[in-house]
Amino acid sequence: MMILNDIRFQWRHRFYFVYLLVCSLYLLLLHFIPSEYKETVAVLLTFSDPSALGLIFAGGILLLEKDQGIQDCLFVTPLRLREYLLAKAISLSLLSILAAWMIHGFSLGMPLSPIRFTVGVMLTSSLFTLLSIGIVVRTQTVNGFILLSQLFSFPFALPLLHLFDIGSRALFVFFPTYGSLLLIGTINRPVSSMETIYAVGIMMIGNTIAFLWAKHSFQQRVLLGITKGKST
Amino acid sequence: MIRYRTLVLNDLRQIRMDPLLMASLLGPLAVIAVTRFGFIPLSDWIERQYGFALAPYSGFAATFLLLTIPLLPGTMTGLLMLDERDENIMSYYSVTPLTRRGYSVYRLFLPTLLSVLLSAAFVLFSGITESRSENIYALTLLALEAPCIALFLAAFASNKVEGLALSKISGLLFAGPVVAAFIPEPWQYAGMWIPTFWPAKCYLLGVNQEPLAALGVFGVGLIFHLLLLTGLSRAFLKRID
Repeated sequence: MMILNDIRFQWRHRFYFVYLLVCSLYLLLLHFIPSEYKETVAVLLTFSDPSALGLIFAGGILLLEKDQGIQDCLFVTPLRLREYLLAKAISLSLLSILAAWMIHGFSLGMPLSPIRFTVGVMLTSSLFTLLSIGIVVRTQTVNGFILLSQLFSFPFALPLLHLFDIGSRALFVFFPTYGSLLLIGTINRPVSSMETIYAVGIMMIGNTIAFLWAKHSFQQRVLLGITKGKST
Repeated sequence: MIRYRTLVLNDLRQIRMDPLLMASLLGPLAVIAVTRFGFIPLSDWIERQYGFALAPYSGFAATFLLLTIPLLPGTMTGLLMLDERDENIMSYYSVTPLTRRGYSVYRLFLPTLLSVLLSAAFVLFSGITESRSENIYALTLLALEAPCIALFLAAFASNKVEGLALSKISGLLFAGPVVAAFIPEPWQYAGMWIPTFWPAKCYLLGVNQEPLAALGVFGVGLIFHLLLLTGLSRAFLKRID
């Protein structure tokens, strides 16, 4: 139910419309890229935008909910914090998956491994959404949030260096986003079962840590604040 | 000027509290520094690694990077205006001697000034641009981009979430230099509805030593930008009514 509410909220605030335009722009861009670089650019675009859209949007949604006083009354209902966070992650992942498929479907066709590709986009999106929630509770303004989100997310972008053959693989294997790039890269490159297990495993670990961090941060900085506000 | 004093003092305090206002100054400076010291080494590396020479595209690279300069303060100002609207601060200003119009002028002045100064600094110090008198056309049009971006966000977004969503559409602006540099004439004029097409075209015509054509394109581009700015100002003032 919470997931449906979040999807409705995103629809009402034109997220889907905006991504239709953004995807069209990417399709236009990919059209002009020489065919030998097209697949690398497509991986780069999918990783940095549709997959990571939650990084900006989740924070924006929470800031608006705070301004509108929604959070004050939301948690006096039977809704649990766990459900609230997962609904945000799942609903934004759905938008990420649709956008990623639109870009690939119309520019490169069917990925070599559609399931791995979809799982890669979904887990990357949920990771960045949870990261965004942990960040936004530490800020007061939308501009402050954007700056902090860029600082926090920078280390997660480092595995992109390997996409351009910079640095050895061993440097990046502990980054969950290295797993993202492996799975998103299945648009043009087959990935073995062992690599898939590694990628899903490292991303699940990353998601679990991000979830626990977001939950703890939200409890400490939002829920505790609401409770204190009530008791005074 | 006295009526702006409170806003100026408030903003100076805000710069300390909200580091992103500082980032809209430091971000473009970083772009200039990275271009100055990184473009040639990067160009050499790409040529060695992929056999692709970047040097012939330095005109396109210059217009593309120049565009990021008004984009940053423009987007930041738009989001700040939305923040102030969400928190009803804008309604407060509208009943002071400053008035709504005075508030808009004040808010849009800073990103315009930053765009002028930092775009000029890019042309002078980035090391990938040619110093030509036609550059003044591109810089004038780029300075008008920042208030247009801010007003676009503030006029068409209902709140900061929609502002963040619409700021994604600002990515469309990067299509302007691409169209001006890579699509052959006359087909490229299909992209003239993209505001950034005009400064990019002016700059590239200057580089190609076509001063008259650059002046003509600047004239049309200036009218286009002024009409856009007027339309967006009206839409914004109507929105906060």
